[in-house]
Formats: sequence, C-alpha cells, structure tokens
Amino acid sequence: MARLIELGAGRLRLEGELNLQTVPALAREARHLFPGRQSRRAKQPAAATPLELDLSGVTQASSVAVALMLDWLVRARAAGTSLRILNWPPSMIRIARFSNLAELLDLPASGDQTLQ
Amino acid sequence: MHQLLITGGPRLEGEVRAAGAKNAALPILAATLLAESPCLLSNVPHLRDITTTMELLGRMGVRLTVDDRMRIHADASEVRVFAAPYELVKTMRASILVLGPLLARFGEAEVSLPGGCAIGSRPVNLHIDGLRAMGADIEVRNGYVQARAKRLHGARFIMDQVTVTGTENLMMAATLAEGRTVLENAAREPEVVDLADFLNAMGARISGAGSSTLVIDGVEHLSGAEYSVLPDRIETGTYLVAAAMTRGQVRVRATRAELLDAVLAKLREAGAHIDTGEDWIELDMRGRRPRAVDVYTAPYPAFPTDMQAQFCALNSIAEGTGTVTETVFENRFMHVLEMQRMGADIRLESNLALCRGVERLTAAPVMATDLRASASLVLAALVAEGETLIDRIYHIDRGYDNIEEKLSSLGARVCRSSTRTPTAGPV
Repeated sequence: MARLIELGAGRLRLEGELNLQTVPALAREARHLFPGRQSRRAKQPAAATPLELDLSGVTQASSVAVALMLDWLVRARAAGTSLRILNWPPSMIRIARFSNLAELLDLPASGDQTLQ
Repeated sequence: MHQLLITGGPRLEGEVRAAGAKNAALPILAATLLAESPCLLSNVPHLRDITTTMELLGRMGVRLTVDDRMRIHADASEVRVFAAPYELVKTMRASILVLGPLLARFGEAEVSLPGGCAIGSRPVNLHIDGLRAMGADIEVRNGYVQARAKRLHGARFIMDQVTVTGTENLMMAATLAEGRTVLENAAREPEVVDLADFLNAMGARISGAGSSTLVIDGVEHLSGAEYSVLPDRIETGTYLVAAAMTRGQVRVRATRAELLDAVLAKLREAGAHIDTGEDWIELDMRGRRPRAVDVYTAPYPAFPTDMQAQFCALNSIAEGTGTVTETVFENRFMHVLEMQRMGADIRLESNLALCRGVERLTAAPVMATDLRASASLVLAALVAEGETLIDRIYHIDRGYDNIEEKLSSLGARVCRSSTRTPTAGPV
C-alpha cells in the first residue's frame, strides 16, 4: 500500500511501500504534476511551481522506487520545474548506490553499502 | 578518473565483512535465464560488472528489482530478446555466460564475442565446441556467436583446457538438455560449485561439482529459487594479507575458511596466527613482521593465481627472500614494475618473481594495470612511508566492493579522489 499526498504549494509526501505492485499506480496518479510531457490533459498546470517531495513516510522500497524518483526528476525538468527530494530512506540510498545512480540523484556516492 | 590516496603506516585492526563473490554472482545471474519463475539472490556484491549484467538481462526482458535488503529479484518468465550486444559484452567478458542458458531454454542465442578475443581463441572455442557436441548449430559471423538448437541433447565432452566460464556455460546448457551430459576436465573452483548448488536449487540434477567430472542429467524445466552467493575468497584473502603486512589483527566476517586453505597455509608459514569459525577468519601478527614465503599458483584447490600479486606485496616487506611462481596466466607480473618504484627488491625471471624483503617501502605515484595488480599496490601503499597515489583504480573497483571504506574501518588512511587533494581517513 502506498499513497501520494499533495500538501499544497508544490509540497508532496509519499507514504507506504514502494515496490513493483504499488509504484505503477503512483506513476499514473502523479502524471498531472508534470504537465506537458505525458499528460496533456493535466488537471492543474503545476509546471511553474517548484516541487518538494518528502520521502520520510516510505516504509519499504525496492529499486522500482528509485526508478520512480528518476522518472519524476526527468519529468519535472521536462515540465520546466524542479523537484527536490527530501528524507531519502537509507534503503533507497543503498539501492541508488548499488545501481550506480547516486551521483545522478545527487546523493553521496559512498557510505555503508553492506549487502545482506 | 578516480585515484586512491593512501598514507602508509597504520596497523590494521578490527572487523570487516566479506562481500559476495563476483565470479559466483555473474554466472548465477546468467543462470536466472533458465528459470520459468522468479529467483531471489542475496549477498550479491556492489560492483560495476554486476550492474552491467543486470542491464544485459534487463534488455532481454528479465524483470529485475533490488529490494530494501539489497537482494535481487530476477523474473525471466517473459524473455523476448535472445541477444547480448557488443556494446555490453565488450565491457565485460563474462557476458558470454548467457550463451548456454539462452540456447538451452529458448533454442537460440546471439552473443557478441568478447572484445580482444580473436575468433578461434581457445577459451571461447571450448564453449562453442561443447555446445556443438550437445547438438547446437553454431556459426560465428560478424563478431557474434549465433547459435540455434531445437533441444540440446546430452553428450560427453572433454575440455582439453580447464576453463571456469566454459565449465559454467556448458553446465548451465546441459541442465535443460535431453539426457545425460558428462563434462570431463571440468573446473573445480568454489564458484563453479556455487553455480551448481544454485542450479540444483532450481531443480537441476548435477553431481560431481568440485571434482573434475561433472554429470548433469537434463530436466524439462527449471523453476526459481532463493540463493545466497558464496563469499569472495580473494577479497577475504586480500584483507588478511593487508593485516599480515601491517602487523595487525583483523577478523573477516561472512566468509568461509575452507575456501582459502592454500592461502591460509601460506599466511601461517609467514608467521600469522589464524583462528577460524563457521563464518569468520581472524589473523593476528602479534606485532611481528611477516616472513617471506614461496608461492606456486595452480588451479583450485592449489594456491590461486588471483592472490599471487598480494603475496608479492607481502614478500616485498617480509623478512627473508620468497619466490612467487605463476603457472596459470602469462603476463601476470605487471604490478612488479610499479612495486619496484616503491622500493621493492623484486627480480623477474620468466614466470617467477624473486622477492627480497626490505624493511620499508616508500610512497610513489603508481598506476593500476589490472584488478589484482592494483590490489597489490594498495597493500604496498598501506605499509609504505608517505602518501601513495594510485591511479586508474577502476581496475580495483571491478573486484573490490567499497575498498576504501572497508580499509578505513580497519584504521587505514585511505581516500578516493578525482584530484590530488589529500584527506586523511580515520586513524
């Protein structure tokens, strides 16, 4: 179970488990946040508003979640706005490093990468 | 380009966790192509070749995810592409490992020859000849191995040269062949045994793993399995040698002592006190300088070629004179020239390195030339007087998961940089 909460003024919050089952629905749900690329029937043109996404409510995440963040960053840029991601869960940071995506996501490139 | 800056001197102390073995993880990832249901792999090391393999499998249609425990979920139930393109294979020779699984399960495969590998070279020929013996129709055209087979059939195949990837490729192919396959003169390395264990967990019927004769009775289908990759014996051995050279005391966790019998015997001969447990090895030099040892490389279970450069480094600062004889590969003494620049007294005679131990090495800018050579330079730098800058460390990143952090956690002064800006690590 996962949900995207829009708090207003470009502030967003993700909660729950981000995995192969939950992420596709989130991706569809968020299309209106990035008008002009995929969704031409956007509810509200939010392109001018810088977005801020809080991940502190994420309880579990797989690499699909990291892929979603990359996708949203690309969509935000294409929509002419910015997306700032806050409170990365440690598991997502580890996965980003494992996938050699830390630099792209502006995360520190090294740290505890012990795999279980 | 990244570099490592190492300030020599500190005695290494503490615990470090061994990563999973890349040479086991790569064929195991390739083997997931054989399964009709999802596989779950743990203890996979964080190395570029692993992500390259995941990219290769992903392009074929394998659905891959990494979960929050860094386990890899691989679902090959909807593979649509049976090709490994040159752009990926050229960066990683192990890509040839997808040839056997693709052909066995889907009846076709098109895999680029690895870069720098001339058509007709012995190792790739063995893969091709073995698959032909199992009934595959194979052509090498435009730099690609193009293979087809309705269903492979069992065969007896004698490999006239021991090859680890050849054994692995043919073993994977034989799991889905009709009837019994016998592979003679097979590689006995623990990584081959690990792959056989994984395949058996998927429902394969393989016996003899770890011996030079493998018997594989083909089955109709393989299903997904959960598996933990075996620990990296070379990484484990490298940290133990680092402890010996710095006269330190280090425990390597999440490893297996029985994988390193030949290496531990040589470390004991060098004066190390070694204790082992179910999943750990502890080396204690009790502050003493190591003694030089004679090392002779040969296929497993003898002393591994991938540890000889590290023992050259150990001998270079040890008490007395030791020899390192390389019998497995040619041209495996590239590190010696760089170590000589650090003051090592090593003389090369054909496939033998004669090392007279010196009291101390001195720091110098050096260049990594290959994976194990770069590991030996890191070891030499740990005991050299001054700051050693090691260039081209992408070689070391191909085999050592997070090396600077692991060494720093043991007290080494190591930092990674893309410029020459010294920053001391924890002391």
